[in-house]
Amino acid sequence: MPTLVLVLVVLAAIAVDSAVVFLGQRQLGDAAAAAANDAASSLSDPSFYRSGRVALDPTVARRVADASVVAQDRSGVSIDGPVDVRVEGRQVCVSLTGHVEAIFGRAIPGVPHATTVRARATATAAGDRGTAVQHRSLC
Amino acid sequence: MGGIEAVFFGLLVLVLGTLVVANAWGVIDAKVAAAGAAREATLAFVQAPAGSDPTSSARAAAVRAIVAQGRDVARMTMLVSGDLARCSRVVAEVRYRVPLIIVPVLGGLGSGFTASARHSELVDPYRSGLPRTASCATPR
Repeated sequence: MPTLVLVLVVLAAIAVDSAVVFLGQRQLGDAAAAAANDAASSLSDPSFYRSGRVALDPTVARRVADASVVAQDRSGVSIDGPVDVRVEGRQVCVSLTGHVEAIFGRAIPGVPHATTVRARATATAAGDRGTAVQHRSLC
Repeated sequence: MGGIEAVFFGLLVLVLGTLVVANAWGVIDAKVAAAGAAREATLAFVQAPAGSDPTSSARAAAVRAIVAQGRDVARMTMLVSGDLARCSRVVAEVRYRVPLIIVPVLGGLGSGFTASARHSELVDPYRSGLPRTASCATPR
Protein backbone atom coordinates (compact mmCIF):
# COMPACT_ATOMS: atom_id res chain seq x y z
CA MET A 1 0.00 0.00 0.00
CA PRO A 2 2.75 2.59 0.74
CA THR A 3 4.12 1.95 -2.74
CA LEU A 4 0.69 2.50 -4.26
CA VAL A 5 0.24 5.72 -2.31
CA LEU A 6 3.73 6.88 -3.33
CA VAL A 7 2.82 6.25 -6.97
CA LEU A 8 -0.33 8.35 -6.48
CA VAL A 9 1.68 11.20 -4.94
CA VAL A 10 4.21 11.08 -7.79
CA LEU A 11 1.35 11.21 -10.31
CA ALA A 12 -0.12 14.20 -8.48
CA ALA A 13 3.30 15.88 -8.56
CA ILE A 14 3.48 15.34 -12.31
CA ALA A 15 0.00 16.86 -12.60
CA VAL A 16 1.17 19.96 -10.70
CA ASP A 17 4.22 20.26 -12.95
CA SER A 18 1.95 20.02 -15.99
CA ALA A 19 -0.11 22.89 -14.57
CA VAL A 20 3.10 24.91 -14.10
CA VAL A 21 3.99 24.32 -17.76
CA PHE A 22 0.45 25.35 -18.75
CA LEU A 23 0.83 28.54 -16.68
CA GLY A 24 4.19 29.29 -18.33
CA GLN A 25 2.66 28.71 -21.76
CA ARG A 26 -0.15 31.12 -20.93
CA GLN A 27 2.28 33.75 -19.67
CA LEU A 28 4.32 33.43 -22.85
CA GLY A 29 1.14 33.67 -24.96
CA ASP A 30 0.03 36.78 -23.06
CA ALA A 31 3.47 38.35 -23.52
CA ALA A 32 3.43 37.61 -27.26
CA ALA A 33 -0.11 38.99 -27.65
CA ALA A 34 0.71 42.16 -25.73
CA ALA A 35 3.92 42.65 -27.73
CA ALA A 36 2.06 42.17 -31.02
CA ASN A 37 -0.67 44.62 -29.94
CA ASP A 38 1.91 47.21 -28.94
CA ALA A 39 3.94 46.69 -32.12
CA ALA A 40 0.83 47.10 -34.28
CA SER A 41 0.76 50.76 -33.26
CA SER A 42 4.15 51.39 -34.92
CA LEU A 43 2.73 52.91 -38.08
CA SER A 44 5.12 54.25 -40.67
CA ASP A 45 4.52 57.99 -41.07
CA PRO A 46 6.46 58.32 -44.38
CA SER A 47 4.43 55.50 -45.91
CA PHE A 48 1.17 57.14 -44.90
CA TYR A 49 2.02 60.73 -45.80
CA ARG A 50 3.66 59.88 -49.14
CA SER A 51 1.29 57.23 -50.47
CA GLY A 52 -1.64 57.21 -48.08
CA ARG A 53 -0.89 53.57 -47.31
CA VAL A 54 -1.12 52.25 -43.74
CA ALA A 55 1.95 50.13 -43.06
CA LEU A 56 4.07 49.30 -40.03
CA ASP A 57 7.65 50.42 -39.60
CA PRO A 58 9.61 47.16 -39.00
CA THR A 59 12.40 48.87 -37.02
CA VAL A 60 10.04 50.61 -34.63
CA ALA A 61 7.82 47.54 -34.38
CA ARG A 62 10.81 45.45 -33.28
CA ARG A 63 11.85 48.04 -30.73
CA VAL A 64 8.34 48.33 -29.31
CA ALA A 65 7.88 44.54 -29.19
CA ASP A 66 11.21 44.11 -27.37
CA ALA A 67 10.24 46.76 -24.81
CA SER A 68 6.84 45.13 -24.34
CA VAL A 69 8.28 41.68 -23.69
CA VAL A 70 10.73 43.12 -21.15
CA ALA A 71 7.84 44.77 -19.30
CA GLN A 72 5.81 41.57 -19.00
CA ASP A 73 5.77 39.18 -16.07
CA ARG A 74 8.15 36.31 -16.78
CA SER A 75 8.35 34.80 -13.33
CA GLY A 76 6.98 31.45 -14.46
CA VAL A 77 8.86 31.16 -17.73
CA SER A 78 12.37 32.00 -18.94
CA ILE A 79 12.52 33.39 -22.46
CA ASP A 80 15.18 31.80 -24.66
CA GLY A 81 16.76 33.79 -27.44
CA PRO A 82 15.65 37.04 -29.01
CA VAL A 83 12.08 38.10 -29.71
CA ASP A 84 11.20 37.13 -33.28
CA VAL A 85 9.25 39.96 -34.90
CA ARG A 86 8.07 39.74 -38.50
CA VAL A 87 6.32 42.62 -40.20
CA GLU A 88 4.46 42.60 -43.48
CA GLY A 89 2.38 45.56 -44.53
CA ARG A 90 0.28 46.42 -41.49
CA GLN A 91 0.48 43.06 -39.84
CA VAL A 92 3.01 42.00 -37.24
CA CYS A 93 3.77 38.55 -35.86
CA VAL A 94 5.64 38.06 -32.59
CA SER A 95 7.08 34.63 -31.74
CA LEU A 96 8.58 33.71 -28.40
CA THR A 97 10.34 30.60 -27.15
CA GLY A 98 10.97 29.85 -23.51
CA HIS A 99 11.36 27.10 -20.99
CA VAL A 100 9.53 26.31 -17.77
CA GLU A 101 11.33 24.69 -14.83
CA ALA A 102 9.52 21.83 -13.13
CA ILE A 103 8.79 22.06 -9.38
CA PHE A 104 8.55 18.41 -8.39
CA GLY A 105 9.99 16.97 -11.61
CA ARG A 106 13.52 17.77 -10.50
CA ALA A 107 13.19 15.18 -7.76
CA ILE A 108 11.62 12.49 -9.91
CA PRO A 109 14.01 10.44 -12.05
CA GLY A 110 13.06 10.20 -15.71
CA VAL A 111 10.91 13.33 -15.67
CA PRO A 112 12.35 16.28 -17.67
CA HIS A 113 13.54 19.17 -15.49
CA ALA A 114 12.43 21.82 -17.96
CA THR A 115 9.88 22.00 -20.76
CA THR A 116 10.21 24.18 -23.83
CA VAL A 117 7.18 26.32 -24.60
CA ARG A 118 6.45 28.45 -27.65
CA ALA A 119 3.93 31.19 -28.33
CA ARG A 120 3.18 33.47 -31.22
CA ALA A 121 0.65 36.21 -31.78
CA THR A 122 -0.43 38.34 -34.69
CA ALA A 123 -1.86 41.84 -34.71
CA THR A 124 -3.05 43.90 -37.64
CA ALA A 125 -3.41 47.67 -37.66
CA ALA A 126 -7.02 48.43 -38.55
CA GLY A 127 -8.66 51.43 -40.13
CA ASP A 128 -7.43 51.29 -43.71
CA ARG A 129 -9.53 50.41 -46.74
CA GLY A 130 -9.05 46.87 -47.96
CA THR A 131 -6.65 44.36 -46.49
CA ALA A 132 -2.96 44.60 -47.27
CA VAL A 133 -2.25 41.24 -45.65
CA GLN A 134 -4.50 38.26 -45.29
CA HIS A 135 -5.77 37.53 -41.81
CA ARG A 136 -3.01 35.88 -39.71
CA SER A 137 -1.00 34.98 -42.79
CA LEU A 138 2.32 35.83 -41.14
CA CYS A 139 2.22 33.25 -38.34
CA MET B 1 0.49 -6.71 12.47
CA GLY B 2 2.97 -5.76 9.77
CA GLY B 3 0.07 -5.17 7.40
CA ILE B 4 -1.53 -2.62 9.73
CA GLU B 5 1.77 -0.72 10.01
CA ALA B 6 1.98 -0.61 6.24
CA VAL B 7 -1.58 0.76 6.07
CA PHE B 8 -0.76 3.48 8.63
CA PHE B 9 2.45 4.41 6.82
CA GLY B 10 0.59 4.47 3.53
CA LEU B 11 -2.06 6.78 4.96
CA LEU B 12 0.63 9.05 6.38
CA VAL B 13 2.36 9.30 3.01
CA LEU B 14 -1.01 9.89 1.33
CA VAL B 15 -2.05 12.70 3.71
CA LEU B 16 1.34 14.48 3.64
CA GLY B 17 1.71 14.10 -0.09
CA THR B 18 -1.83 15.32 -0.73
CA LEU B 19 -1.28 18.40 1.44
CA VAL B 20 2.02 19.26 -0.26
CA VAL B 21 0.44 18.89 -3.70
CA ALA B 22 -2.68 20.82 -2.60
CA ASN B 23 -0.49 23.71 -1.38
CA ALA B 24 1.44 23.79 -4.64
CA TRP B 25 -1.75 23.57 -6.66
CA GLY B 26 -3.33 26.39 -4.64
CA VAL B 27 -0.43 28.71 -5.40
CA ILE B 28 -0.46 27.86 -9.12
CA ASP B 29 -4.23 28.33 -9.29
CA ALA B 30 -3.94 31.71 -7.54
CA LYS B 31 -1.18 32.72 -9.95
CA VAL B 32 -3.45 31.91 -12.91
CA ALA B 33 -6.23 34.01 -11.35
CA ALA B 34 -3.84 36.90 -10.62
CA ALA B 35 -2.47 36.79 -14.18
CA GLY B 36 -6.01 36.98 -15.59
CA ALA B 37 -6.89 39.87 -13.30
CA ALA B 38 -3.70 41.78 -14.20
CA ARG B 39 -4.39 41.34 -17.90
CA GLU B 40 -8.01 42.52 -17.58
CA ALA B 41 -6.98 45.47 -15.41
CA THR B 42 -4.36 46.63 -17.91
CA LEU B 43 -6.74 46.36 -20.85
CA ALA B 44 -9.45 48.25 -18.94
CA PHE B 45 -6.94 50.99 -18.10
CA VAL B 46 -5.62 51.55 -21.64
CA GLN B 47 -9.14 51.37 -23.14
CA ALA B 48 -10.77 53.64 -20.55
CA PRO B 49 -12.66 56.59 -22.07
CA ALA B 50 -10.77 59.88 -22.16
CA GLY B 51 -11.53 61.98 -19.10
CA SER B 52 -12.60 59.03 -16.97
CA ASP B 53 -10.74 57.54 -14.04
CA PRO B 54 -8.74 54.68 -15.60
CA THR B 55 -7.57 53.35 -12.25
CA SER B 56 -11.16 52.74 -11.14
CA SER B 57 -11.90 50.94 -14.41
CA ALA B 58 -8.79 48.81 -13.94
CA ARG B 59 -9.71 47.99 -10.35
CA ALA B 60 -13.27 47.06 -11.34
CA ALA B 61 -12.00 44.82 -14.15
CA ALA B 62 -9.54 43.07 -11.81
CA VAL B 63 -12.28 42.51 -9.22
CA ARG B 64 -14.58 41.06 -11.89
CA ALA B 65 -11.82 38.71 -13.07
CA ILE B 66 -11.03 37.53 -9.53
CA VAL B 67 -14.72 37.01 -8.69
CA ALA B 68 -15.22 35.11 -11.94
CA GLN B 69 -12.48 32.73 -10.82
CA GLY B 70 -14.38 32.12 -7.58
CA ARG B 71 -11.77 33.93 -5.50
CA ASP B 72 -12.01 36.21 -2.47
CA VAL B 73 -11.57 39.86 -3.49
CA ALA B 74 -10.40 40.76 0.03
CA ARG B 75 -7.21 38.77 -0.56
CA MET B 76 -6.35 40.73 -3.69
CA THR B 77 -4.25 43.86 -3.93
CA MET B 78 -3.53 45.74 -7.13
CA LEU B 79 -1.04 48.36 -8.20
CA VAL B 80 -1.26 50.20 -11.51
CA SER B 81 1.47 52.46 -12.87
CA GLY B 82 1.29 54.63 -15.97
CA ASP B 83 -0.88 57.42 -17.33
CA LEU B 84 -3.80 57.43 -19.70
CA ALA B 85 -1.77 59.29 -22.31
CA ARG B 86 -0.63 58.30 -25.77
CA CYS B 87 2.35 55.94 -25.80
CA SER B 88 2.30 55.57 -22.03
CA ARG B 89 3.25 52.10 -20.83
CA VAL B 90 0.75 50.86 -18.27
CA VAL B 91 1.75 48.09 -15.90
CA ALA B 92 -0.73 46.39 -13.58
CA GLU B 93 0.46 44.11 -10.83
CA VAL B 94 -2.02 41.94 -8.97
CA ARG B 95 -1.11 40.11 -5.77
CA TYR B 96 -3.27 37.42 -4.24
CA ARG B 97 -2.67 36.01 -0.78
CA VAL B 98 -3.09 32.24 -0.70
CA PRO B 99 -4.11 30.76 2.64
CA LEU B 100 -1.64 28.20 3.91
CA ILE B 101 -2.61 24.63 4.52
CA ILE B 102 -0.46 23.46 7.40
CA VAL B 103 1.29 20.21 6.68
CA PRO B 104 1.66 17.99 9.77
CA VAL B 105 5.25 17.06 10.66
CA LEU B 106 6.62 19.45 8.04
CA GLY B 107 4.81 22.34 9.77
CA GLY B 108 3.57 25.63 8.39
CA LEU B 109 5.62 28.13 6.42
CA GLY B 110 4.75 31.62 7.66
CA SER B 111 1.32 33.11 7.12
CA GLY B 112 0.75 31.85 3.60
CA PHE B 113 1.95 32.51 0.09
CA THR B 114 1.46 35.51 -2.14
CA ALA B 115 0.95 34.83 -5.82
CA SER B 116 1.66 37.83 -7.99
CA ALA B 117 1.30 38.54 -11.70
CA ARG B 118 2.08 41.54 -13.86
CA HIS B 119 0.83 42.63 -17.26
CA SER B 120 1.80 45.58 -19.43
CA GLU B 121 0.22 47.32 -22.40
CA LEU B 122 0.91 50.46 -24.38
CA VAL B 123 -1.79 53.13 -24.69
CA ASP B 124 -2.73 53.45 -28.36
CA PRO B 125 -0.63 56.32 -29.79
CA TYR B 126 -3.40 57.26 -32.22
CA ARG B 127 -6.28 57.45 -29.74
CA SER B 128 -8.18 60.70 -29.81
CA GLY B 129 -8.86 62.82 -26.76
CA LEU B 130 -5.70 61.88 -24.92
CA PRO B 131 -2.72 64.10 -24.13
CA ARG B 132 0.74 63.76 -25.65
CA THR B 133 1.79 63.08 -29.24
CA ALA B 134 2.17 59.71 -30.93
CA SER B 135 5.88 59.72 -30.14
CA CYS B 136 6.24 55.97 -29.68
CA ALA B 137 5.10 55.31 -33.22
CA THR B 138 7.80 57.40 -34.86
CA PRO B 139 11.47 56.37 -35.11
CA ARG B 140 13.89 58.19 -32.83
